[in-house]
Amino acid sequence: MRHSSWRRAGAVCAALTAAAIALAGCSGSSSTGSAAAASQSTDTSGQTLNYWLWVDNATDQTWQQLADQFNAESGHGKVQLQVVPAAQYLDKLQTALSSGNGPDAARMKDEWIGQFVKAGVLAPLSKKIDAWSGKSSVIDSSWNAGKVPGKSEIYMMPHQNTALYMYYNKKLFSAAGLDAPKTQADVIADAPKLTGNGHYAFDVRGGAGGQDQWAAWMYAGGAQFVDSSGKVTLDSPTGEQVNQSYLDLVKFAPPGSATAAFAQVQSNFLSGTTAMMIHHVGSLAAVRKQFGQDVGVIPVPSQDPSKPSSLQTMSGNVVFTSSKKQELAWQWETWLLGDAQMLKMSTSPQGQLPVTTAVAANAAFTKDDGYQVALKAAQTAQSWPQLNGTTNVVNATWSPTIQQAFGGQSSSAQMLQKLSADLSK
Amino acid sequence: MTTLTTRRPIRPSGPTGPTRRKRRLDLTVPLFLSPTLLLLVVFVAYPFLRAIWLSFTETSLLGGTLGFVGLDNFRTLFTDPSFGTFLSNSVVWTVGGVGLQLVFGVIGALLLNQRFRLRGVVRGLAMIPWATPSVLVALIWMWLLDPNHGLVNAVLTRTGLMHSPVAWFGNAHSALGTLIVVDAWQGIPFFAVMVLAALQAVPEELKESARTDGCGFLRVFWFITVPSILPTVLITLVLRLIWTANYIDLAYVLTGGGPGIASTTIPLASYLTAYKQGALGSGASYAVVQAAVLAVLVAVYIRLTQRREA
Repeated sequence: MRHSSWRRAGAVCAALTAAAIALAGCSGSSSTGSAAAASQSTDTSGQTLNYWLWVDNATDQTWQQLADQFNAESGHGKVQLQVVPAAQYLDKLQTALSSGNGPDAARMKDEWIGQFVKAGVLAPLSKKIDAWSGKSSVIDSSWNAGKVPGKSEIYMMPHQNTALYMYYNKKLFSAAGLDAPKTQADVIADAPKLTGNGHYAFDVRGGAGGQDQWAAWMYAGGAQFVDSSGKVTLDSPTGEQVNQSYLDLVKFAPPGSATAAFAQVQSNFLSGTTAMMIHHVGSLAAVRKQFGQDVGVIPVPSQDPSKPSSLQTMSGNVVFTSSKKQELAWQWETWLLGDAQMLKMSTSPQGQLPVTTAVAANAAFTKDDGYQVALKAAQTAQSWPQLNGTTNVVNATWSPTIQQAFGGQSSSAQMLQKLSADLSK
Repeated sequence: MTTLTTRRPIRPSGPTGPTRRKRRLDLTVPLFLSPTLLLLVVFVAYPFLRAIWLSFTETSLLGGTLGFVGLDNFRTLFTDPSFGTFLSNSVVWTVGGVGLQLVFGVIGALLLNQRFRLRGVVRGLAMIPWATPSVLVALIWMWLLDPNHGLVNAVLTRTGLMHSPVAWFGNAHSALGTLIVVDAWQGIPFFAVMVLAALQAVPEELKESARTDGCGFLRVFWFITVPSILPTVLITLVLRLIWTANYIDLAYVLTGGGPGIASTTIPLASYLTAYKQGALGSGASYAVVQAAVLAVLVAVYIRLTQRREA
C-alpha cells in the first residue's frame, strides 16, 4: 500500500472514531451485579471503605466530620469519602459500576433504586436489618423507601427524608390582597393577581430537578402514579386534569421558567420576582435569612384540603454486591443512624428530616414551624414509584417532555402518556 | 505486523561460487512504528469497532450487553419522529456556527493584519474566547442572557429595544440560534488567527505590483489576497465543520438540548441516550450515523490537504 493510502486510511479511521470513541470507552459488557461478594467477617479492622456521596451544600463539612468521627472510633475499619457533584452523580455511579470500578457503598435516592435493583447490583439488606438492634429506632414507614413495588426486600438504609412544601412571600400576597393559598384552585385564581410589574406567581421549573415539585403538585392534586398492583396509572383523567393545571401556571411564571433549574428558581424567589416556591427544608435557612418573618411555610396546596399529599424523597445508603467490604459498609451505614449522628446531619446546613423517632422528637424540629409543616407533610406524602423506568424519567425524559408541553407542542394527555410509557419500561 | 525487506544482493567480486539472494528480516520499521500502532489500536481502532458493535446490541449502562439486535437500533432511530429534528438541528448548528465564524473570522483577520498601536496586545486579547474553557463560556453567557437578572435583557429593555425580557435559551424559537451565536463568539478567534497567519504569508511584492498596475483595494484583495489564503480558509473551514458538528458542551450546559428537543443535535442525542437514559446500544447507533456523515467531510479534508502538499 502506498504511503499516502496508509495516511488516508488512518485519517479516515481516526475521524470516524471521533464520534464513537466516548461511547465505547465505558461499554463494560459484563453485568456488575454478577460479582459475588466475598465471605464477610465482622472484624473489619484494617479495611477502608470507598463510599460515594453527593453533598447538598458544597461548603458544609458535616459529612467529612462524621467520617472523621467514625474513623477515630476503634473496632472497625475506616471510611473514605468520595464526593461527586450532584448533577453528575448518577451518571458517574452507573459508569463506574459498569466498568467494575464502583464504590463499596454509596448514597442513593429512592427514585433511583428500581434500575439498580433490576441490574442486581444492590445487596439485599432485610436479613441484616431484622437482626439489627437499632431497627425499631427508625421511623417504620422509612423502610418502604428502600423497596421496589411488589417486593418486600429492602435494598437501601434510610437516612434523610424530604417532604416538599410551599413557601410564599407574605408581602407580595398582602400587596395583592390575598391570603395564603389552601387549594390548587386558590393558586390558579391568585396567579394572575400576583403577576405584573416584573413580578410573577410561581416558577414551574421545567429544568433539572423540576420533576419533584411537579410530582408534589400531582400528588397533592389527587393523581396516582401507580395502583396497588404496581401498574402505572399516571395518565388517568384525574392526572391529566391536575397536570393541565400545572401546565397553565407557565403563563404566570417568569421568562425562562420552562427550562429553569433550582438555582434560577431560588434566585427568583429570594429576589421577590416570584411569590411562591415549592421546595423543602434544605432551603429554609436561606429563605429565612432573606425574608425573616415575611415568608410563610405552608403545605403544597391540594385539590381537597382534607386529603393533603405531597412528594417525599428519601436519600439513603446502599451496599453494592460487588464489594468485598460489605460488613464495613453495614457498620458505617448503621452508625450514621445513631442519634447523635442523625441530629448532627439533620441540623446541618444540608440537613433534612430525620428518619429516627428519637431525633424527630427533638426540639430542633418540634419547635420550628417550618420543620413542623415538613414533618406533617411527610405523614401523607408519597414517593416516586421505585420502578425500573423511574430513573430514566427522573434523569432524562421528564424535562424535555414537560418542556414540549409548556411550549404547546404536546397536550397534557400526550405528556402523561409518554411519561407513563417511560415509567413502565 | 512484521515487514520483510529484501535487500539488494551483493554480488561476489570474483567467480567464486554461485550468486545467492539473502533475505533478512528487518525489524527496524515495525519497531519504531509499534508504539504509535499500539496507541492507535487501543485508543482508536478498538473503541471505534466496539462502538459499531454496540450499535447492533441492546446494551445498558448497568446491565451490560443483553443481546444482539441486528439493525433494530438503527430502525428505531430512523423511525423516531424526533430524528428529523435532531438532523436539521445538527445542520443548522454546524452550518450556522461555522458560517458566522468564517465571515467574522476573515473580517477579524483583516483588521488584525492592519498596522495600529498595541496590535500585539489586541491580537493576544482576541484569543481569550478561544482559550476559555467551554463550560466557563457557557456559564458566562448563561449569566449574561439570564431572562430575569441578566445584563443583556436589562440593557435591551431599559433602552426600549425590547418590551419584556426574553428567555433566550428557554424559548424553542431562539434557543438554537442563541447557541450558534455563543459558539461563533468562541470560535471566531481561531478562524481569525488561522486566516491572519495566511494573510501574513501573502507576498507583499505581488500586492505592490497589482497596485502599480492600477488595482484598487478590492481588486487586490480579490485577485491577490483571496487566492493566497483560500487553501488555509478551506482547510480551517472543513476542520471547524468537523469539530462543530461534534461539539456538544455548550448545548449540554446551556439548554440540555431543550426546550424539549429544540436544540438537540445528533451527537447530543447520542450522549443523552447513552448516559442519561443508560441505553448504550441506542446511543452508539446515533454515534455511528454521525460518524458516517462526518466521513464525507473527512474525505474533503484529506483531499484538500493532499492537494496542498502536492
